[in-house]
Amino acid sequence: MGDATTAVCNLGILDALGGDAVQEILESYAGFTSATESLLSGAGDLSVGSELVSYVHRLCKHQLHSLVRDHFLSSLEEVFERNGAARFWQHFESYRDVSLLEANRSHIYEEEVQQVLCKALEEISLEKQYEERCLFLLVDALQTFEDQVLPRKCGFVTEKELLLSKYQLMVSSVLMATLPSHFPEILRWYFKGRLEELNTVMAGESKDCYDKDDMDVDEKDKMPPKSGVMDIDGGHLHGERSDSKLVKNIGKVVRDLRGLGFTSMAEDAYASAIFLLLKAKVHDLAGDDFRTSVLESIKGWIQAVPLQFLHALLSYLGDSFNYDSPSSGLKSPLASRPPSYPGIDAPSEALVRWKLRLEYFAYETLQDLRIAKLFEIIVDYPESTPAIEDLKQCLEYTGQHSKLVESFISALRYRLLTAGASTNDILHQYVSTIKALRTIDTAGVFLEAVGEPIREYLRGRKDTIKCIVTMLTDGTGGNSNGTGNAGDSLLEELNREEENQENSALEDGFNTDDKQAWITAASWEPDPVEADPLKGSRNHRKVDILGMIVGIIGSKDQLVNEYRVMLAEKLLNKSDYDIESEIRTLELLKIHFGESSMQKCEIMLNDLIDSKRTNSNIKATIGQASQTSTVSEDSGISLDILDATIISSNFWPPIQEEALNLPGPVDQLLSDYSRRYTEIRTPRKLLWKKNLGTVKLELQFEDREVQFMVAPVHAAIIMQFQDQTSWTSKKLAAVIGLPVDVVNRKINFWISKGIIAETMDPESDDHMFTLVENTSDVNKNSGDGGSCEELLAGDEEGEGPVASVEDQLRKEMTIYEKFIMGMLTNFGSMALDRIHNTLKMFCVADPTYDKSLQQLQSFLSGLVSEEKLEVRDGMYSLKK
Amino acid sequence: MAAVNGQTEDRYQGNTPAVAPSPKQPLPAAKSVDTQSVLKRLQSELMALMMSGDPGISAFPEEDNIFCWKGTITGSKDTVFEGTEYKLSLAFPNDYPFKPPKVKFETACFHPNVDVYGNICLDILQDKWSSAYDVRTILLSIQSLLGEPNTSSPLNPQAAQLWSNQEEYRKMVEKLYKPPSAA
Amino acid sequence: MWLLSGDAVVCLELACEDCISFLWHAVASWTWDAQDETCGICRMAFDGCCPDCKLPGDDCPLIWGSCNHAFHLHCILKWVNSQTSQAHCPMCRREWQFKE
Repeated sequence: MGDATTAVCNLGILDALGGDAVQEILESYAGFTSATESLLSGAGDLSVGSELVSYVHRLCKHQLHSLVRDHFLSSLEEVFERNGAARFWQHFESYRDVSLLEANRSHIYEEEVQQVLCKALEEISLEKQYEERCLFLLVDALQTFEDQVLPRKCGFVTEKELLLSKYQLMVSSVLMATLPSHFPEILRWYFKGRLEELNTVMAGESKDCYDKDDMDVDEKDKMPPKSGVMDIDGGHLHGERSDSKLVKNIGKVVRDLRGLGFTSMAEDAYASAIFLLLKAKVHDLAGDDFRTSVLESIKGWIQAVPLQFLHALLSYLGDSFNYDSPSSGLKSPLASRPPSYPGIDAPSEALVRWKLRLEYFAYETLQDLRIAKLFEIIVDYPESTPAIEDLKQCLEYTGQHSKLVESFISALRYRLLTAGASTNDILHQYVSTIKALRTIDTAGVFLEAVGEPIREYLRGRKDTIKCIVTMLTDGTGGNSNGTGNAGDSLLEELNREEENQENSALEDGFNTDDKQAWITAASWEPDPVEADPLKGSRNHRKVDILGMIVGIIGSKDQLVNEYRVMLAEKLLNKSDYDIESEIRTLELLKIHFGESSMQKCEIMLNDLIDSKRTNSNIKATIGQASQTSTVSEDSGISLDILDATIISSNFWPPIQEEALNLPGPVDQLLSDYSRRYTEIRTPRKLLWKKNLGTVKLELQFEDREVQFMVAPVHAAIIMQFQDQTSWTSKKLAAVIGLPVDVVNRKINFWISKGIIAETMDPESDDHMFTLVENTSDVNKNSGDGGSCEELLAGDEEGEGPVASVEDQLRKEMTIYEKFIMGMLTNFGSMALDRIHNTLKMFCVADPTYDKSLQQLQSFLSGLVSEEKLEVRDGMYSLKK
Repeated sequence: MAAVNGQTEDRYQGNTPAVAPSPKQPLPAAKSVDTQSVLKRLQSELMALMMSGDPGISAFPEEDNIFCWKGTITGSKDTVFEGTEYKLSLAFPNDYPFKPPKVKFETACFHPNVDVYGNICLDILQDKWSSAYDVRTILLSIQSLLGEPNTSSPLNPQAAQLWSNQEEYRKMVEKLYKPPSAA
Repeated sequence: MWLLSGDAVVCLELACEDCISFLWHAVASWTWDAQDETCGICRMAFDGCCPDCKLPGDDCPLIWGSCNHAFHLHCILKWVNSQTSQAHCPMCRREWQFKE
């Protein structure tokens, strides 16, 4: 029966027939076609059914099965094209312009599209159902005929399946052939809209959930139970839950679409809608807030919304296979998914796959988002620790660390390593970067890559060492952006971490708060020469902040030296002997750099302590009659107004001395002080450094009283105006004992304060300085009248009392030269690295040789070009 | 060195041998001095020597041992040694500067107070040692010893005899002089 | 010139009854009152300390001989102890006597 006979064969059969038979065939065929036509166009009227059956039977008698089938199917196709497809697409005609969809995203418009889609689907499904029923009539007719002739049970099934699949194929091909290009977009848009709706509904519910569950974000709580609330066929299906209804609606749309052969298109559409929504959700949750962790809530949302939805949808579709619905249970030729037969495992396996896909997507999205903002996150560190933790987890999942390195380095170059950024800011960002990234990168592998451009850049800046020392040791001054705690230097912070580390080593518990990350740092050890108490943690490879800071400069000696210079300046500018914070800093530096490195600094601090004691001892001698002289008593000025810092100059950095004539009374005080010092500390004596120190001045005028903290030179200048209110700069310079230009520069301080006025003396063609007697003379200092405390006005020209590191460097180079000449005299000729090693070995005293081989080579080249040395085959020798 | 001393000892006439017998009483202070302070002193001497730039004398520690130095002196102008250059070695004891270093010529030097092994007879290197001496003063002393030998107690009697004839002496110096090779 | 009462602040009279009062904090370096700068024995600066000391000044004092040569106390003691017979001043070879 079911043989695939062709039309040609059928015609052959026609030839062989007798006239009656032909007549019967023609009549039956005419009856069959008209019955078919009226059936298919009958709009639900199946009354012609019995008529059709008899015609079919008659035609089948003449072996014309295939003719019947072909005609019926092609008629169905015609009708489906006309009544199904064309009408279906007609609904979407007005949404042809997809961009309009986006533009008109009003709720009403959205709803309209939804309704249109549902209506269209319903309509076409009805049409299809009707056509299927017609098809079943034919199947019935064919079957009853078969039953009469050859009762074969299985034949029916085969016939039915064959015809149905042919029909289904026809439906999909017709729709696919006429598919308007904007339809997939409409689907996506539909799912997006519905999912957003679902999201709002579920978000509301999960919020309630959070409240009730006391924010317990445990995954199990969020995982939909296997036969739980969302099971469409469960008791809650017809229930009160709006999301169930919503899912059911969506499920129906999906089912209808599947029925039309749009299985994969529908899946694509809701998948892309889900990912779009997830992306939006991640952006929405993450945003620019780095101070809360969002990863858990994202995961929670994935559980709560898309997975719930998918679970419901999949089980709805899966369960619907049970229904004896003709349109379902059929595998679309375009379906990519294996048919999910009702069962327990299938949906959950699909769901797990979905979960992994969604989570990976979420990790990647969040990671990209955080990497793009990593610079800001680090600026915000440590408040942004939650964002860093999130990023760490994301990267562990995606493994895209290189993305971070590339992106962050380019952000650094663009945002930080520019002329506009202060060295301080760069350093603070560097430290924050280390602190932040070591959370992600405990071994410091790509921290190295990220840090190098910063270090490279900082090495090119002159004030880097100074800023590093300030940052390390000064808790208040250096931190311009004010994020750090006042009074808390980096060194103290590092030390605290170290202590915490030691403490936590005792506890066996695993500390998960952010301290844990901190603790991993600061196990830096000084050069192995130095004795340092052994720490158990040292063997671990850890990111070491201090080491990475020292790495900017290259050697700790330079750092220590710079610290010494800064310490000297600070100590010399003290008007009291309060060095508590300096002592604390020194203790910390000793821990990190070794005691012997800090020896000189220790002596400097010791000098201050000693000075304080000596100072009070000297004051104590005032009551007793001085053995040697009574000059001080004559002057009527008490030693009480003089304090002194007495330094062991050998251990201090070179100090710039300036000849300076102090006012007579002050000079007398100094010599009195010296004498008393020698009396109690013989055979030691004092050498005054008259340009150093601080003077607290109080100027009293008729109408005002002003206080200043100034350098001795400023005090010396203003005190000259007591005896004589006007001075030419030449005369003033002679009295003070300084060059005229220096006096002119220094006196600017008083001019700027409105104490001294400057005029040109027409006679001598010289600057004339006059004391401003009362405020009405000048407008500058009007109003305040009260006391004003001025910071020490010593470095207005940027020159401190202590010789700069540059000056010391120049001195070093001449010493190296002498050493090189000396060794070559005695050893003849030497290779570069032998010279280098010899210098390292023996040039260890005051300027310790700490240059690199490259630096030495260029230095030697300089000596060669000065014709002091000659070089042959890499061997240096003295130029004879 | 010990063997050399054994041989040279008889030649000393009145002078204390180079290796002095151990002192009568133990020297707790000198012995307890750790090498650290010797190191410091030698380092500061090196620094001072490098910075002083005295003409005709120089010294520098050997590659990895600051207790062993190589020295160089040139013969002073207007002496028979003018234009010659001599290498010396200086070995410092652990209780330097309370004990003198051992100094000897590395290049042959025809001189009344220098023997064929390079040993030098110079009082400040023996009993007249003072801790105020240093490498610089030692080298300067040896440099001046070249032009002003002590012919009354010679280590090299031949040289002492010839000394009175400066012209012949100069010829002898030139004949025996081997300029130190570079490196 | 007149003294302000109370505070230990001295007031120097200005031309027209104005005045300046001050508290001066000066800086000096101490030095041993010796002719030389460095110790002839250890070659370290007098104002520094001998190689065995860490802190200068009182912890590592100078001592004078009757010949008026000065040394770090620690250094001259070592020298004196190292001598087999009567110690001489390393600088002038006179018999070493501590100055009274």
